[in-house]
Amino acid sequence: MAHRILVIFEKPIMLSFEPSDPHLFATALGVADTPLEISLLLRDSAVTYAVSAQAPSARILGQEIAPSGTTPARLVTFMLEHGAVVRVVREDLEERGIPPSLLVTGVRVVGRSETADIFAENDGVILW
Amino acid sequence: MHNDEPILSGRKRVRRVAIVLSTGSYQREAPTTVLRLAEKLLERGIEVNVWAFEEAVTLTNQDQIEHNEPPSLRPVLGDSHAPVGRFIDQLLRAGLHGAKMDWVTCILCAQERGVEKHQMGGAIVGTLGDLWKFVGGADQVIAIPAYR
Repeated sequence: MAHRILVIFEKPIMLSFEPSDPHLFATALGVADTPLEISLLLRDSAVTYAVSAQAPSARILGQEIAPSGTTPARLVTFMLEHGAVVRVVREDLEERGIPPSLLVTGVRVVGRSETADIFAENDGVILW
Repeated sequence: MHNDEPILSGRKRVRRVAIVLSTGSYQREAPTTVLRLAEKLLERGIEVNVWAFEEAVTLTNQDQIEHNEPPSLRPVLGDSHAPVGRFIDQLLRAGLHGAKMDWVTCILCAQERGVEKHQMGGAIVGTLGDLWKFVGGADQVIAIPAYR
């Protein structure tokens, strides 16, 4: 039986008529509503999910397509509050010029060389 | 096209735009971009012809439902959200009293996905011939590939 699950995000999805990336809130549901021990690894462009000051907005005919104002960062915060470990890859942050000070509080920054060990710590890996 | 259109700053005035869209929504940003662009074009009196094929034929499925979000996620996601079809419907209606927008779904793609009989009012099930008529009649063509 798999109990420790690593969920990896690589490519962000924004403004898709969902409140946020559906993979992200599917993961949040797993964190909040199941006994599984779920952790996240944000790499490649998905490191932006951990940036705290996101404000995605799109209006069509004056109507916000995602009126709840949900951001990936809010979902990351929600998952941290529900006990999930959230990691981002330092090199992917650096390549994009994102300093760790911009990240949601509680997100851990790890080196790319550490990711193999993180995989090994888990029973299962989901790559969205 | 006849080349007797007014010239603006050395460029031909655009009166008609064809948009070729091949992505569905909910995992892609392209439909959002197309709808925002269509709105601005209509505002400026420019006729918009959208050719929707492949996964884009599901955007106008009339059976889309504004579902409730899972209870535990409502504090962060909200209670529900409007489906993409509602915005397309409103843009089609907006075109009634200004520049028009036609939205044509590819019949082959719609049949493959079982949505031919489920297209919303205002969406027209058409053929590949319509695609090339849109392209041929346009002052500008915008095509968004399937991987976007």
